[in-house]
Amino acid sequence: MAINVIAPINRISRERIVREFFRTTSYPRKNLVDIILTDRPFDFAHPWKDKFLEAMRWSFRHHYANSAFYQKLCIEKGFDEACIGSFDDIWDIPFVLSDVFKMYTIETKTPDPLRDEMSSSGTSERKSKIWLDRISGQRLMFSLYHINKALGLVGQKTSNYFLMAYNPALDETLGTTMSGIIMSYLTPRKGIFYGIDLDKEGQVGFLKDRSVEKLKEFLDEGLPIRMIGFIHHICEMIQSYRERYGRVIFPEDSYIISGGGWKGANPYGASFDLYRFLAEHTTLDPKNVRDLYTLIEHEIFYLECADHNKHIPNVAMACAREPRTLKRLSYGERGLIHLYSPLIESCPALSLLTTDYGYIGESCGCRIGGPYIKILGRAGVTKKATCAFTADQYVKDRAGT
Amino acid sequence: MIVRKEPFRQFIFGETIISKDPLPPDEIEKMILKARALAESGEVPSQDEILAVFSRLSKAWADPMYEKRQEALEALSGNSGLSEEFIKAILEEFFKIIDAGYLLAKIEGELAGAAIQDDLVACGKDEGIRLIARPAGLVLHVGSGNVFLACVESLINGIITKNVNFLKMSTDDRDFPVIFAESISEFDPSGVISRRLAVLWWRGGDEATEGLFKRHMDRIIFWGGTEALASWQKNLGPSAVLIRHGHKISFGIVSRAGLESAGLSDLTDNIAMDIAIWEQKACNCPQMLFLEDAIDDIDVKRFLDSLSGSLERITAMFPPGRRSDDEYVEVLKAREFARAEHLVTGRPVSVLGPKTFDWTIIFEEDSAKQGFEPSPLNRTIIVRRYSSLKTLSDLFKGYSFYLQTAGYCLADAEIQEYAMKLSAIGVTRLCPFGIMAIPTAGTPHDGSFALRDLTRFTVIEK
Repeated sequence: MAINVIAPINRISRERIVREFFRTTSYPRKNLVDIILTDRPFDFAHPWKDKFLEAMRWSFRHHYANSAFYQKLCIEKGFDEACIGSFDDIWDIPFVLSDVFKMYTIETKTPDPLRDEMSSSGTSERKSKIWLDRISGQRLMFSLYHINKALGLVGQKTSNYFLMAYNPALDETLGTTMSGIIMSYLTPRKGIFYGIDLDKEGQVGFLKDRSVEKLKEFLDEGLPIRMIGFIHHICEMIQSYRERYGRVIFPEDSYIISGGGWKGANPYGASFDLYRFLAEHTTLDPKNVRDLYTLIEHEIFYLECADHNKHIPNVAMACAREPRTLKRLSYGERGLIHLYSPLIESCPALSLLTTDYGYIGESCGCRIGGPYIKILGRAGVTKKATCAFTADQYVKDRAGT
Repeated sequence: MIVRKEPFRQFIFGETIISKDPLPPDEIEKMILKARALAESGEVPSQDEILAVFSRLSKAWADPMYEKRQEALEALSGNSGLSEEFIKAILEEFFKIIDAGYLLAKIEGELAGAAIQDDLVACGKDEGIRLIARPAGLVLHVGSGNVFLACVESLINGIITKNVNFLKMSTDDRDFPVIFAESISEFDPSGVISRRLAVLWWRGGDEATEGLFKRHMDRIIFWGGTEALASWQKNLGPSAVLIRHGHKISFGIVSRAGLESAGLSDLTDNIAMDIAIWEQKACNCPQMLFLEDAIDDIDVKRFLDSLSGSLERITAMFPPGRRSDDEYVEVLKAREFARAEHLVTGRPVSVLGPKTFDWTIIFEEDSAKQGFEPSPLNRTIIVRRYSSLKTLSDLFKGYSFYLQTAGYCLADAEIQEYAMKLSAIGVTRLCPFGIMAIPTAGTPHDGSFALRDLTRFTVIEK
């Protein structure tokens, strides 16, 4: 694994913004979008639909007026604000395909000059990159905080944090790193360790040995541990720990929160059973293992509940679409996941069609209830049974492999 | 990969066997040794005997009611991924490529005369030097699932060069090759062909089985992708020659002079046929189309409108085949990337095609855009401009190994110049649109003559 080391231009300000937010867990409300942000992230009772519609209308107006890209896209598709007459019209708001953000950095102008660059981990192919303005960042933190709170992940016990993500000193723009840092404020924090950092030779990589020793140190300390980030690195570390010191006896209230494009780089293979692995190597209750689905262009947290369903919070909507027709599918039907949210002002991703397969579950059986997303995998370049030279071969050739 | 659990048929030297599993390696080895003894016995059927079987076979396949043809239609409708309408159209034409006259023309074209297979013939001007064409020996054809005819045509090449042939069926098509072998057997009562023919299946990558073939074969004709090819390239025995037909890319060219002299509607119908046939999964289907810069914008628009109409018509006649979700997503990505490029950079890019992704034209008008890129297939054609023949050929630098067919619409006076330039950069076939996926009998494929690859020439000097 090798990345360009990017100078941390505004690391201090980012850390400070996170810290400041968590001092009060509130932010200055600004416009109609803010009406959907409450401390009840899974409350869909009346008048949620009306509020969400208003927020989406505002968001559409804003992106249409301030993103030349989005305006032209909507004109091409014959869609304007008048087309959003009712709640159900939200489903028809023109989408941007998530992979387009891997090709281009597309902005929406906002009055806020403070913008942070954010990028995806790019584990499977190119990185997505967006600019995030201050109000959007604050909304996302507010939303993230209350989602975690509702799902039982905000606590008062001081914990040690294991971020299986890049050290922000190397690249603070990475979404997985920033998400991890923000999540490390969900409890009082004692220690924090980054598993991906510079090694002795100055190369960036997963520091397995150092991680194992740090894990030993954290376990000896006895405080709850929260491991956040790339799950295959977490598993590799646990496996090495087991070989060296025996089964990992997690302190009570410990969690693993996985996230960040790991599936494409999973060395354990497609049939890998995470829960069986963890049961074999650790004492962690499976209910405390939570997967997180989020995209850099759409940083809403779809976080698993204890029943392992990724709940859709009320700051977003989601559906699955049939790949052939892009027709909206019913609950339980597999298709491409399409996400909607008005929270981000600096990037026209209010309607984002992803290239992830999944389905929408109607109602989770947990106490939160409500709809949830099941992610089933990422659409890939098909390995076609063909003698025609295809894109996958082209990509390999260009990469020199 | 689809791996069926129900029993499947294999054809071994005239007999059909039904089993749930592939043959074990020890049985395969016995079969290969038996084939080796047959090849070394020197008993080879005459050309007349072989062609007589094909003559009877061709007549049978010309009849839509022929039982094996109907069985093939049913099987291919289930497993090929192609639409039933398209399979019917292919089977309607199939009898022509197994016709004795067609095969004789192929032998004459590729081996420089038909007599050479059965007799000593003079070589060149020196009458003291004579040649005879003998079979290479044992030949394995490794089939791919994309074009169900490809491995059968390869097998036919092996048969008419009098080899003892094995065919490894693709996992995607474990029916048509066996149906065809059984059909041969039906019209070959004395076993001229069928006792020298085995059609088998085993899971690709089975080292024990593939190791036997690598050790004992004289020729291995490989059709398919790069990863499987890499496996077949390893540990070949001393006699085994691997003839590979890996990934290739084809494209089309339309010059201004060519367009002026062509009937627009016929031209775009032919291009649409080349795009639609085999859903572009065959190596000789075009993935990109280059229009000369000198064609004015109005004519370009007329051309694209006409091509859209042609694709619409061919889609009504031959609906698209079955596609995976990933394949749809690839087309979706190609369309959305093109739209985004236009919206972000301002470069003129148009995306044409129905919402259902049945076909797509991506027209990138800016000739400054360099490089070539494969299309996501499934009736998706990327159309670009080119300013000169030199800039066109420069696009393919570094990819000459992958180049195959260039379909053209050129003025007669231009063909020579284009042929000289494009053949120099690696293109192995130039042909008019409409026949890109239908090569003429007796012409080379991927730069070489298939029948010569399967033949050992013996020279007799005085």
